[in-house]
Amino acid sequence: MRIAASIAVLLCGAWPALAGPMVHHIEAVWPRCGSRGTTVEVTLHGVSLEQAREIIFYRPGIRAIELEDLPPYERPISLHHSGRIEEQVRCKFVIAADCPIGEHPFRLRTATELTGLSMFAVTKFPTVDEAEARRGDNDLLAKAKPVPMNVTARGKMDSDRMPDVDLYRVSGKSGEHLSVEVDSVWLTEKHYAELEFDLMVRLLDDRGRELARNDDSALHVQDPIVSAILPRDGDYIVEVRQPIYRTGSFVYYAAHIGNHRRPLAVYPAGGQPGQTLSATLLGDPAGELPLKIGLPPTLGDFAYEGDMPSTLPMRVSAYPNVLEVRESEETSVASLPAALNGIIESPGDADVFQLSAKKGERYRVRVFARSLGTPLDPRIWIERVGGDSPEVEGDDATYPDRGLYAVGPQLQRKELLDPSVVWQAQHSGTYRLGISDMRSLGGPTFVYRIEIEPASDAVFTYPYSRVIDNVECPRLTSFAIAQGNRWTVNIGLSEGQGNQYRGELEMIARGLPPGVRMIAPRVPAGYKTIPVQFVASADARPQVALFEVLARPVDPAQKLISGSQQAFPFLGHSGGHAWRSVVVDRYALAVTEPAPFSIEVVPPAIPLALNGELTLDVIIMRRPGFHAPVEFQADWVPNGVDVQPTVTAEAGQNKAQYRLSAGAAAKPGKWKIALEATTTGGSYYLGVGRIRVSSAFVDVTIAEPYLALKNHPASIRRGQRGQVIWDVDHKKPLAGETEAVLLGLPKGVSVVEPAPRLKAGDKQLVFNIVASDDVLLGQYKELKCEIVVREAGQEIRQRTGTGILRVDPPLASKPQEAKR
Amino acid sequence: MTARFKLLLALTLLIGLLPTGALLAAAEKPTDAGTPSFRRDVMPILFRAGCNSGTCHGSARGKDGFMLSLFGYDPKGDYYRITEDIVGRRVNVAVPEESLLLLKATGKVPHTGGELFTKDSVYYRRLLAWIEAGARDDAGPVPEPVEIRLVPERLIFQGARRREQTQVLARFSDGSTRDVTQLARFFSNNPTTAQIDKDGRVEAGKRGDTFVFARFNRFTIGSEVIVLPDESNYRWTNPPASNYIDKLVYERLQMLHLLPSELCDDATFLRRAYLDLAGALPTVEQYQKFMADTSSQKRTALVDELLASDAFTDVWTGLWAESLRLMGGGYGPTATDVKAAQAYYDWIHEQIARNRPLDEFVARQITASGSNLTDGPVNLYTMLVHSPKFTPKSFAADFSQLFTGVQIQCAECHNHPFDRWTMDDYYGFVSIFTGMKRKIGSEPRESYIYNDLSAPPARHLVDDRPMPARVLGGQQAIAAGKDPRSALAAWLASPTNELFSRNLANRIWAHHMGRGLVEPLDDMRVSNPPTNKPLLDALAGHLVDSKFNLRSLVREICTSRVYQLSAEPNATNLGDDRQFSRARLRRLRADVVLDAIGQATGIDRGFPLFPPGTKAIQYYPRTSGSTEQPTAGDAFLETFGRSKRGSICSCETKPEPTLSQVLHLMVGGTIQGEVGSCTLVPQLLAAKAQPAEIIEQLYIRTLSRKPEPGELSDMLRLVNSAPRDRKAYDDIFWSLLNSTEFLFNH
Repeated sequence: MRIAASIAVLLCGAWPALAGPMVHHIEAVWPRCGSRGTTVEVTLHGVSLEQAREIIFYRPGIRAIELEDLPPYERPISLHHSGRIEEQVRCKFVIAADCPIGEHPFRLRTATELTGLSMFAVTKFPTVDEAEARRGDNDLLAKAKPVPMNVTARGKMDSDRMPDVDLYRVSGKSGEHLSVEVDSVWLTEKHYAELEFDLMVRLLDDRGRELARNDDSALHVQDPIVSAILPRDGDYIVEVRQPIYRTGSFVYYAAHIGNHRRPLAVYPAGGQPGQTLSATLLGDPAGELPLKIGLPPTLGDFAYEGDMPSTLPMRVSAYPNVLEVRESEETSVASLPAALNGIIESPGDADVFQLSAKKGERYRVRVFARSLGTPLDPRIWIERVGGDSPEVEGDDATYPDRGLYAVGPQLQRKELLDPSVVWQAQHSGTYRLGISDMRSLGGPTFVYRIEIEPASDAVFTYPYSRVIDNVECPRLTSFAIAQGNRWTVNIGLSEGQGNQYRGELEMIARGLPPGVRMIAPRVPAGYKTIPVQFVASADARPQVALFEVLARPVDPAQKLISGSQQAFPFLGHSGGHAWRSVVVDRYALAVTEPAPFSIEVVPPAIPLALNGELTLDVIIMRRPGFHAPVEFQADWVPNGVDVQPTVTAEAGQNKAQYRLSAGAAAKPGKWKIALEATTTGGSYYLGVGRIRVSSAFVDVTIAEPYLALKNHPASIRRGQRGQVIWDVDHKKPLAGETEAVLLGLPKGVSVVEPAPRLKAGDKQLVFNIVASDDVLLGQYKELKCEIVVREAGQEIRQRTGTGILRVDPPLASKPQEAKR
Repeated sequence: MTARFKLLLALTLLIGLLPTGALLAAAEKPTDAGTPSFRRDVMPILFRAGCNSGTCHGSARGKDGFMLSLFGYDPKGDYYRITEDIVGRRVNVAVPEESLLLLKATGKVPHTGGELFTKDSVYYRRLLAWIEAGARDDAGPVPEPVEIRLVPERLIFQGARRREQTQVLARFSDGSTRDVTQLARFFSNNPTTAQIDKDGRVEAGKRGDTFVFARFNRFTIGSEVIVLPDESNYRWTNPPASNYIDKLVYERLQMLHLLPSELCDDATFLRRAYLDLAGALPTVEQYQKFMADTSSQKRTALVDELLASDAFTDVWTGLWAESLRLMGGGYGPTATDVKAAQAYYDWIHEQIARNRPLDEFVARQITASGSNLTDGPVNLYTMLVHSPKFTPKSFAADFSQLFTGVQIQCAECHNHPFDRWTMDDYYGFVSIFTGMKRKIGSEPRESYIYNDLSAPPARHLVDDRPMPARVLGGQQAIAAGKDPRSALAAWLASPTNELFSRNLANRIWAHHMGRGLVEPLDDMRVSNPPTNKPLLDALAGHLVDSKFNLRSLVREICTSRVYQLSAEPNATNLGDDRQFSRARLRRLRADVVLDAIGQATGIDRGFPLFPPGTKAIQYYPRTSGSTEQPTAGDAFLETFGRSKRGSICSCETKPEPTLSQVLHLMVGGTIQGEVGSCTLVPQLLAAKAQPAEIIEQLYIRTLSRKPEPGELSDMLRLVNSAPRDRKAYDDIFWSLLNSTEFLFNH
């Protein structure tokens, strides 16, 4: 079915309003997948896609050509949470014959923007479109669409009151496999939706009798995967449908239908780099299959493909495998580091490994089971032989524990079910490491791998953006720098599990395109976010590249592992519970065409005093013909400093001011601060449709205050006069006399003019006050004193002290005297 | 009194007295001799006088500054509060007569409870003697009551206002027996039929049967009371019996001088069987086929056909889904996501379709661990109690209520006042579930359900003792180190566990007969005995013998003559609503009404988020949010009292007709809209059907019968002026759908 037609039947449910409109660049891509070795025409649908220039893919083997803006939609389409489809771009994806199968994240560079991340998938099978021209064309057994074996059917669940059922007819032979896996959740690029993408598959014979079915799977979570051995030669039916009927738009899927084996796990699930691993494929209906798997030379995750349309996750580690000895109660581990491998084969089983360690040795112990797509929910414990209790236990992990630094806290991924612990041996001797299923379940595919390696220091970076629902926010995290301009992004820092490095850090960039440089302040110890600035020279060519931002210890003698990560939720529910999230290990940076303006912040000549305020002067430099309003703000300030909300320089205005204020907890020192400015229009919340620039960093000094005041608690009776007295502690010498203002007085109490003035050496500051006859009685605890100091031609305002004033009733016995 | 009945009465009394004769002979009479024991003598007096009842000092906060444990579950605490809380005041050892305990009880000082006994009573003397002896607690173990008996076990009165004395005997752990009539408390389940005074004297009231009860210590025991008319020319008519159900009901009817109604006609049986077994009306074709069948076995054949139908599976899946509080929610990490609900529903449906034995069906759920999305039965632990976290106490109480009919939640704070369950029973049972945990699985909707064996057991409310896991009433703790749910499943679903089999049998019986042998269904207790115990035992026995075969028991019930009786009363059974002497008029379940309307009109009403064609009996509430605040999910179903699944209580399903139901049918959208949209009449008109034929079709579609001649002539008068105009037929259709006959199973 063509997307244009399907978009027309879009149905939107009632969704709760969010704080900001969730407008994303690309909301739909069609088709969703293409075959290796082919060129596929693809259209992207969304907003702010005009003047499409270039598409960058994060993985090799695929590129985009012939980008072309199509006419905008005559009737824009509204999506959940104010998302819209207004524009479309056509292009061709050229897929190499050796392109890796699976998901290929990409972004589009337009003249002025770099879009949010979107997805395209590559299949090893030829594709065929469901092409259900009329509703119900392939819903009945007799009308099942004939497809060849080993094909990827690209289909769509129609949005209608009647549930859609898509049937495919395929011929098979007796004893042959019929394996089907349907990608729907995994395939989607949609930002808000859920249940409608949850599909199931059934394999039927030609009379409709069920051979096998699957809805969810340990390997693919919501997406089904099923395999059966055919009982005889003949036609068979593959049925794709929703297990729980729910209307929804853009519910596309790819059904991979083939006669391949479909194992669900591999054992052992990893080995050493370059090794030819003797392994066994598990979970296929034909039984186990021993085979040799050649492992790549690179460490980390490895996807074993074989003849399957989707891969089996494996690991490549620098240390040798230890395989569980099934006949023995305990398996000996000769030395550490090591990768322990086993299977929890039946309910209630626990496997135990015996290993040696010396007191003080520190290891990171990471379990891979759900991460590999096996059904095991592992828990582990390490106890000294003869010890009273485990030295360490592990069940579920945190995202940083699992090396996922950028995934939002509300998201849930299966990796979190695998424990990862840091174990520091408390004794020298023999230990037992045990593993079992937390739920006391077990089975033939409950494979695990435990990697034990020395703990190391590591700090990873990610673009810091904790917006609603953890969605990608170009306003904060897009690396799109206008030619000859600059842009600032806050980089978050996340410690790797077991990290003990606590010193200052430097930030470096690798892979920036020519003409772009990064300016990054040194990161003080303990800081988790820091702004880094990218400057594109005036002659930097518009382009897009993938790069990394890495953390490095200031002391080069120190060793630190670092890397970059960015994560993106898809199929989100309001509240941040997305069904799927994609993680990439590089950032995309685009040099865009020149912006119509730039901004400059005048370096302040005076410091920002603790408990004080500082006003920054901003100059807006407009290109000829650009008169539109400009919004600006500071997205990063040091801890303890508050900023104004977004400030708007009205149309034609070239100057503006921006105020910073420091609390008592701000850390004195020199800090680099930049202001970010955008055009108006587009989406204010996520920033789609806006041109952004940044000022250069200016140094802002946070300084000790001029003085500190200590209050003498005071009282006053209605209708009487009194005093509020402050002891003055001079921190810096005052030049000349300074105004002082008493703040926080209750209504009906006022300062008797003239207000006191303060000069160097004064020990007390005394305010004379008077109370009216009807001032409310009670205690007022919010008294403060503001002093205004003039320095270098600028005003420095400082608020200090916390005072108490009690208002009492007049003395009844001496009313006349009181009045006097 | 007939000679036959005299013989029966004599035998009954004899049988009632025989087992207790020896006990009675051996019973000690309470005497004033010796130093009274606090626990054995004083505590029972506080109980008898009502001091520690819930409305007096036994309430959770006590009364007027003095608190006792409810019905005396905490003697140690009560001793402290009486003697040491305000030293020398409640009990004055120096001047015993001035003890507030005595002054209050005898009304000598102002006492909210008034005078409880006089100074010359045995109660006063015993309390005084205890105080005079130093008001001490018992030094060592005190013999505990282990059993009480109320004699006679059955009382039969011929006529009102006759009286009979009962006696309460208690056997103690040291083997001694004691007459505790003066220390017991008495009550009647139906004072209209039989009253019992504070000294155990029973007085007959109106004709009927009921139970009177005595309570002593933590025990409650009942005796049956039957009150027959003063004068009777009752004669048993020897109606035929199809099976043991008929025999056991007949025995009961004879005892109560009742006669069963006649057998219902074929059309009534057809409709009744369809509504009960398939949750649907028979179609016109099914009606005609059945009515044309001349086989003597056609009713049994129909029952068998319906038992094998998918509709039967849908009905029982719906009933279980309702009982298990199956609901689907949404919004991220809640364990009751709609997908979990559907997984549970599908699993239940599969079990019912396969006729999986009910013991296995329940046991599989009890021992389940795994994912709420892919392992349907684990949702017992997500659905039974809808809360963000698993709550062992709530779950244990609801579990017990659902699967045994026993409401043990009272025993959280005190020993059950009207049953045998103690706090030890309660906390031991809760401990089975204290390790049950949920954790988020692979995606936001998924929860893993498992039992953490390292979790500590529940602790006793009174003394904070850890209570090892025990099945209800079990003497031994479940062995530690293994999942106690296995032991629970083995015990619960055991053929010897009458709590389970009787509970299931009662529920299955109630669905088909409109009333349980025990009512409410989920309040099985000593003080709420079945109206026909031999029958309940026999039904439970059949369930056990058939290896908990649901369809087998339903077949037994539906092929009995009792099930097939007419609702038309006779001279003897007009007032009977307990003994199944005639069919009980039952308003259709809300979902069955809705499905019947849809079936009669041919309109698929549909439910949001469910595919077209979904029947109301298949529908369960779905929401995009939390399921903690459930609703029926549909205004019609709510109006007609479908369970909102807000609690485990069987009372969530409301069978009563209400005004709003009538108004809804008359002016609401359901019937108005569907009759207007129904194409039946136009089709019949187009097919040139005659007016009488059309009216007959409408009658069969709605009431499963043809119109009576008088009805037909009345209806024809309505259409005669415009026999080809659908309007008058629509009015008739509307009227039939609004008729009481349509709304009721009869």
